[in-house]
Amino acid sequence: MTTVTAQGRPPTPSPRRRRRPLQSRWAYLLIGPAMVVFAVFNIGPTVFAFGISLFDWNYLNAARSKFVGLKNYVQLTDLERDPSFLQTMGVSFYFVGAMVIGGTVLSLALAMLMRRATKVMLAARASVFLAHVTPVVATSLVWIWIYNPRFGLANAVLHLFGLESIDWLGNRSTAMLSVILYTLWHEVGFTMIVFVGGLATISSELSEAARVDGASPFREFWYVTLPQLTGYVVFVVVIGSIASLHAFTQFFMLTGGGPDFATATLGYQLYQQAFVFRKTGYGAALAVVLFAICVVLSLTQLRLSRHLNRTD
Amino acid sequence: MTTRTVPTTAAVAPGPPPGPARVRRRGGVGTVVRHVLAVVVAVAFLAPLLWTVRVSLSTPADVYQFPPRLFGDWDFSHYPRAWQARPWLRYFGNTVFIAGCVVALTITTSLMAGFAFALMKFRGRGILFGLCMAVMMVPQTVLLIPNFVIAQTLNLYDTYLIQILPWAASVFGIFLMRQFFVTLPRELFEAAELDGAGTWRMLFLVAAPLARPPMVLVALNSFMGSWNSFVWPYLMTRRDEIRPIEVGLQTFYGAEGTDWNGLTAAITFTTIPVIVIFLFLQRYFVHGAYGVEGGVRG
Amino acid sequence: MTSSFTRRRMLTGVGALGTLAATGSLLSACAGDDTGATPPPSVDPDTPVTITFMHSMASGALKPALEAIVAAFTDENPHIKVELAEQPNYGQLRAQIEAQTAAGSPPTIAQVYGDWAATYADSGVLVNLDQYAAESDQWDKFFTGVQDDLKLTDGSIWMWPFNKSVMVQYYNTEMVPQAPTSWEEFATVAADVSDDKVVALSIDPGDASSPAGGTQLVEALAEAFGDGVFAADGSPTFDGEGTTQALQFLVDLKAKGALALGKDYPGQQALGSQTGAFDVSSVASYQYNLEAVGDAFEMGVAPMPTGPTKVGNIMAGTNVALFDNEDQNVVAAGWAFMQFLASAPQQAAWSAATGYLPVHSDALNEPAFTEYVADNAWVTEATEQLNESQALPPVPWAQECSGKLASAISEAVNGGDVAAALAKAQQAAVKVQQEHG
Repeated sequence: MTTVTAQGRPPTPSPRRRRRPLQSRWAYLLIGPAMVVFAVFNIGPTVFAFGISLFDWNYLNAARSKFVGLKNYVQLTDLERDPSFLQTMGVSFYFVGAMVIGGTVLSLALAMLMRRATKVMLAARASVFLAHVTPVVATSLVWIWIYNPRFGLANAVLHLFGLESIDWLGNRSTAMLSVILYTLWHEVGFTMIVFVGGLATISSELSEAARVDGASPFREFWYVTLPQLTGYVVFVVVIGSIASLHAFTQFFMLTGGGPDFATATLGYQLYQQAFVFRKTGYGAALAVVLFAICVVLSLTQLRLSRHLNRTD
Repeated sequence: MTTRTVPTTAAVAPGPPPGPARVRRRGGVGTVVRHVLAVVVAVAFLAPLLWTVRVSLSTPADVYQFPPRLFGDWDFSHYPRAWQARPWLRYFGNTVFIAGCVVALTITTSLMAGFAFALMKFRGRGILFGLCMAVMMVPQTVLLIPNFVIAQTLNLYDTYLIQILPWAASVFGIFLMRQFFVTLPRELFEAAELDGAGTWRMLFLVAAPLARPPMVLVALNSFMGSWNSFVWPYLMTRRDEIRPIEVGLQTFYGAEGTDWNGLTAAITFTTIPVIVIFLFLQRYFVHGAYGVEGGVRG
Repeated sequence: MTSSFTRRRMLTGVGALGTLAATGSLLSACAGDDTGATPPPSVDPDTPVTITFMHSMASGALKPALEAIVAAFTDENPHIKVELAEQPNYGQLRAQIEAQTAAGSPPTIAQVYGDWAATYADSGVLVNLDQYAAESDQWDKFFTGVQDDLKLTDGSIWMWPFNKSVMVQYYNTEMVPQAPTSWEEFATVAADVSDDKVVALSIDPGDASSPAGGTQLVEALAEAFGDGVFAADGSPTFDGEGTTQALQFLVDLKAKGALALGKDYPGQQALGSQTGAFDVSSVASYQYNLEAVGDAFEMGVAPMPTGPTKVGNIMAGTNVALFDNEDQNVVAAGWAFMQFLASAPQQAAWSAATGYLPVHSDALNEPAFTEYVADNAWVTEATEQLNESQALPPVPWAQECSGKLASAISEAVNGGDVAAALAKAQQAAVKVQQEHG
């Protein structure tokens, strides 16, 4: 297979050309395995789930399912439901908002703090990132004990500051905060490293210039450093919001969505409806909504980053 | 053997970035404060892990003390006890086997698909790539029910295969590889083409050797994902003999939820391998690898 | 056997693909009506059979005790192999049973609660046991409370008994020399024994998705103070007098510093670490509590205190259900094992080893049980309570409704208004019941 025409121009598509390795049908074979995996285990089931959302699905005996049209979607508007869809959305936005804003600010701050590659800073980065590599099941268990209302470390810290003990995971008002604290601990390492990488690519001349002009460190950060990191911020925000929307294991381990659905986000609620309360059709409807939200989010991100690229 | 002389691209080798760090001239107090602050942050992030080890070495009575005792007595008996309670070695073996297969398959599929999407021209490329990206949007939990039926249909329920196949391709991996190949200069491949390289030679002899850095990231990512996976193997398997470590740990907690000495011991010895692997590879991360290569600039 | 098995697999596969293809269209409900009772098939002793028993006897003394029963059964029935499919807790047991049933390969038999069985029977995946019971010599020997617990609201028998329990109080005899006999006395004793180190009672209130020991305690208290948490037809009555007083009782305990909330058997944790004086929980906790206490002090066990008019108690523990299977040999073998589990000698040994109460009246005369009672006098009274105590109604919405009650408990104990919390729970529970319609 050596017959290749040699012309020094860029490989613009030209259908008459004989074999060109980069226009070969081998491409389908190359993407084939991945596409088959996606088709069988992701795309097919997604279509299937969409179908389920139109049924009063009997999960034990599919033959006894009843087609109900959009009934499951109509139930989303039922405010009497416990938890109502509105409440679930509220809980989700609380979690996603806190993770995205808190996670981005915190990881950017840590990245700025540990920006220099000294030995101590590298070790500190490794320590923060280490939390991210620990398995969620294992470290959720640890945090269950840390949050123990009678003997936990978290309350010991409160006592150091002269505060009263809290039933962290058991109280409506603190349960979500507790899950957020754990998730931040686990996730911030990853996004921090993204920002560290981003900081490494930006121009130091601008910062120098700003400093020569006598800009305060904060102004320098705000007007010089941050604008150059916009792409990274968008990336972290989108990855963070999708990951938070999908978050599951820490809710399963720490709170099971409770107390009283105070931590039942959309991503957890659809599991709960389908597998705990056996409302498979309704759970599937929630899943379709979650899917739609994720798609809208990513399209927005795509638009946004194109827009930003153009203005650059 | 035409392609060895290809110039390496600047893009992405891990290593100390040519950052602005060295240029700083302000040292003194600011630097010391920053370092102290960094150490405090590091300790805070390590604290839950260190605390786990401490609890696993406490006496049962000390566990139920408040405020918790940092300097109580030491008790090493929980490790052998917890170790004997479950077939941990088997769980470890399963996890390593499953993760190994997943990593090998993911690297292969990501390399091939990333290469095709980045460099090859074929009908439907845009749509297929969009479809891949859409896969990332699908929450795993929603797939559990339909996938369960599919697993059963394919006769895969309660096997190793069902724990491997769904993860044999990764959107993240394909995306990363594609971004990497897009940044490579086209001349590289044109030169190979002139030398008469076919698609496969180009892929394995030109592209693959260059793609080491993103491959390491893909490998680590899917290894960690595999080690972390929980709901899927939990629901897709029944026999203890083929279950991975995190499922074993969760069932241990489910059954012995009151034995915090034993639990923390189990958490410690099941997590240490991950930590050790990370420490060996941490240089790939701490310099900001994800940021540089994560395709953000694309 | 192999050929029918393969055919079944194939049918499942075809069914799944058909469902995939036809998600938009109506599915014909052609599964037939499975509620019809059939006589038990007979075992062919020459054909080797493997049955799966999905259970949650995963830890402590339970695991070896169950393994001993299986060993004894295999000795008597060498052609039947019993595979134990162990789940760490009941939530996961339920998830696993249903996932496998949904995929067309249910276990042969499994531990189930009444409300689960109601759902499974509705879906046509269980074997009706009416005629099985009629032909079995065990039925008449079960305690009447146990017999009632095996039926669903249709009056049919769908389960066979295995591990039954009621609640008792475990206490630290050094802190509380004499167990209180009424709830009024309990409140006084609990307040007295509590200080900054000790909180008399710790409970797990449970949660909307998983009611726990604390939920059960409120259900028992509601019986003691009045009319229980469910009406006879399974309708929730959370805003009734009994439940209101029960919850108020806990709120008052909390106000006196005598109640703490927690997770993962907090009563046992506190009792064992001498930071609690009581654990009010199931008799099945006996061996676990003994181990948690160790040699630190002598643990006392006493029946539940009485309310103003009567003792209120909750019958807990599960029964075993038989899943529909094309292979009649498997059904027959499963049925044989279910009867073995409920037989007098096995129930006596099981009870002595685990603390569960025997379901078979002849078990009371077995030597294994009489020896056990000689050391543990409280067991006699607890066994008698099997006939008087209430089980949760076997309706499909029972657990989800209990979840609403669980939410009300943590809300009220954490400072919310009792009546408001219960009103909200009642409203939500009624809604759940209506949805099951």
